[in-house]
Amino acid sequence: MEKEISLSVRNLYKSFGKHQVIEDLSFDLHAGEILGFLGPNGAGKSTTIKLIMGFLTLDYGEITICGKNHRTEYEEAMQNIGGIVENPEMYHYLSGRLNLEMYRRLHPGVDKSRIDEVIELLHMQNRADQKVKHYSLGMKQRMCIAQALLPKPRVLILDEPTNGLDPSGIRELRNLLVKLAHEDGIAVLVSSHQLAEIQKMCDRVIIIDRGKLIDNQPINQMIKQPEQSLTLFRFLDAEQMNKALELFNENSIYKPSIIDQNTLILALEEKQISEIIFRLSQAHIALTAVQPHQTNLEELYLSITGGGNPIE
Amino acid sequence: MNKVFVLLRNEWTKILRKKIVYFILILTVLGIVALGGIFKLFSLSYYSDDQIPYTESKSEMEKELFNIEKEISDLEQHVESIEENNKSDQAQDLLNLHINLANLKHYKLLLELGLAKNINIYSSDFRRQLINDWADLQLTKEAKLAGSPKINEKIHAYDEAIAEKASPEDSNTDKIISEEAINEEAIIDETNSKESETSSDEAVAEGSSLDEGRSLSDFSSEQTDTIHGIIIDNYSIDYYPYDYYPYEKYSDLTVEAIEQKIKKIDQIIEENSYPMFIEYQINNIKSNQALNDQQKDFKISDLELELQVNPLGKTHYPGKNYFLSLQHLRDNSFAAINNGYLSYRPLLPVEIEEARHDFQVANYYLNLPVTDLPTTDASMSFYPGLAINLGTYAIICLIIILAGSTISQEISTGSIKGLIIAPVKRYKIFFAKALSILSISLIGMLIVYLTTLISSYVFVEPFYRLPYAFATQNGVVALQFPVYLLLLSFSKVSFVLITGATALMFSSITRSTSISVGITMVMQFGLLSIYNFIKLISINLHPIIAFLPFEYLDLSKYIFPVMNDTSFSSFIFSGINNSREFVLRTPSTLPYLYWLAMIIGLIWIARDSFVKNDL
Repeated sequence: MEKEISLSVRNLYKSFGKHQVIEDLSFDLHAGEILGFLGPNGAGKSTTIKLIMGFLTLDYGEITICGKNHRTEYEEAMQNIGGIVENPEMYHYLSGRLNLEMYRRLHPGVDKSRIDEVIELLHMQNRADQKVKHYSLGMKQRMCIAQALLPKPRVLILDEPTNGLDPSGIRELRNLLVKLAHEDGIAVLVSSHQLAEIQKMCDRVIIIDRGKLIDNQPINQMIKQPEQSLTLFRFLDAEQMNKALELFNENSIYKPSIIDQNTLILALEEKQISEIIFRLSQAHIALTAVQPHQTNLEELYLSITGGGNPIE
Repeated sequence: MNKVFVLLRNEWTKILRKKIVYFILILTVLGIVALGGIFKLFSLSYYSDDQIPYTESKSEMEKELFNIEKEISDLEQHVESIEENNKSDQAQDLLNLHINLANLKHYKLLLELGLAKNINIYSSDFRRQLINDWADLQLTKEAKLAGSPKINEKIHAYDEAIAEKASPEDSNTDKIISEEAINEEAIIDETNSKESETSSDEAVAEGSSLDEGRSLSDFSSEQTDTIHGIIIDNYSIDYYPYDYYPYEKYSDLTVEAIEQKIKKIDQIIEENSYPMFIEYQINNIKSNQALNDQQKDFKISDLELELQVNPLGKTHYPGKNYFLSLQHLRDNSFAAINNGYLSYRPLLPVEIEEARHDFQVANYYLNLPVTDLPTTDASMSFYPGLAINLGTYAIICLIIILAGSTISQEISTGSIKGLIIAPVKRYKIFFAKALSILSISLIGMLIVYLTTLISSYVFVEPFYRLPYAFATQNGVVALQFPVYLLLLSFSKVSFVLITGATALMFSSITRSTSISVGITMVMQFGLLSIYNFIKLISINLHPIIAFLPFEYLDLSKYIFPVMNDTSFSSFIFSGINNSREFVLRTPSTLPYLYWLAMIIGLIWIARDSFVKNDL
């Protein structure tokens, strides 16, 4: 059964002067789903998030949050959303708790006790009453996440949420987001350059480049093992590998990818692996390791985006 | 709407945690209190300097007498020699010499009387006024006994000589002859009016007459021009008598009457009685034919008041300047109402109406019962108004800083994100910010008011805690001191608010705190000086300057045009302030409409920039 669409972005256009930053961008975010939002620098990720969060005005297109039109029912739509945009910023001359209190006042129906809940959730009990100007970047990030979670939003949008967090903080955040999405049914959009984290937490990934959507698929589908799995061969030295390359060249069905001077990868079916090892031993080529090679999001991302573009 | 108030509450949460707010408010309170202390200090020390005693001036007076005697004898010889020669072309010189001689004789008599009666003639002692009158009377008596003509008669005789001398061949004189009738009267009037102008203060103080021959209300501006033209052509070079001869005023008295008056003066001096001096002055006024009944009533009541507040006849006493300025205002406005012009300038109907108001208000203050006599100078009465002004400028500084940063600082630090992400439309965020500026302006001025009120009760004596009087269709209405001060403080919010709106607009447009605060500070404190400088060097500047911020945006000036002093009327009576005249010519609602248009415009631009532009 198709899950409810919490955030719908349709045919978004945005330009700054003559520079078209977002062009015909459309995607959906479903309830209970964590969506990774990827793209190189300048691709338009932050602009898209700012458009959704109301920082920028749309040139064209439509954003719907929990069925409420962003343009015509702004306050109702924004009632369902929480998030952080770019750097974590709060009123530095106020305490973290007072910042949260001021934010709470703007959300009717959110009880004061909720402030303590989110502070506890982000492990900020001991620092909540200190002024924000005394916080580290990580603490500010935690407090901003606490603020985003405060009104119990149905859509959570996080721009670089792991910035400044220590490894345990990153893991806690990951677990928290997974719990919020999968147990509480919150739709989460995460924009990050920490691709390993995205891979670990996201259910689906969209990749944009130059303001256009270039990929949108579930993460498990994106990085699933093909029929021909990749196998890594490590030779004793460069000379041994060159001999192996000559051997593979004789048989054009093998197309090796060179990783470094004594390592290469071949896409092989399982039965072909023993055959290759046999032939290499026959040719007295010394191998030090043969192992399966797992494709990760980073490689896919780099292969899709071409390793990044010059920023325009 | 509810969200706007929630946002407003948030704005106040932020404002209350800014140190600069407390810093400026504490400085404001301290400044107002310190100003009160300074005023008190100076208004008390004013009376520590007494008059120079007679003993110190005696030798100087003796030396002066010796010199004057020599000067008189030299001058008499000179006059004799000219009279012997009897040259017609020296007639003017001779007349001037006679005038000088008469003046020197008057001065000599004054010195002699001063030395004889132990009175310092360089002081403002009331007895000095008496011996001055004595000298006038004595000289008049001598002239009468000698049968010599009065100085005025000599002048008339000279005028006739000049008229006869006028040559018919001179083409320029056709005009003069044709307008001879006007000339005759005009020259006399010109002389008299100048006489009266130079001596108006003395005349008021001494109760001397306004010249009966003065009928300037008959002037039309056209006639005045013609008269001036002729004076420039013929008389300004040859003959221009401008000296003042106070002793001429007794020339109508008989020798016996003069002697009686001298006797009376001698008695007052002997008894050194200030009440008798006042009584003498009152009698002079009563017998003065040049004054109408109302003028006599004013002057008599002034003298009675003088006796009440200064029973010992001290030269300087607390409250003197206060009463004098009110009397001056009343007399001037009375003259303006009756004559319809001032200093040869016809007054505008609105100015006459304002003079009418002044007259009523001055009368109101002068008729207030005097219960607690002050011990400090009248400058103390200016303290509350000045304290409110000082406080207003301090609050303006605070508002510029707050309004100039409220949008720009939040954008530059990124703290505005929490507001933008919240489920509120941007215009509500803006209006909450604008309302926070309004509310802090009101609260700031309330603090200024309370501080000034308490400070006034500490430093200002009850006598100077004056009600605010204004004229209405049904007479004069007065606001009690605390009420007036409160309303004055809140009327100043108009000025604070317009400055805040300007800073808010710059903050929204430029998104730079330093630029918005800097520009508004320069406009508020820098441009005003530049405007004033421009006005100083060019009084004829086009009144467009009136519409540059923030020249005419302090509505308190229009709501409470008089601040218990007479400064406001000085604009009318000096007649040199063209901008003032311009404002007077415009409808009275213009400043309010202008203010309203400005504030709506500034807020609209600020709102538009904040709501429509990307962050």
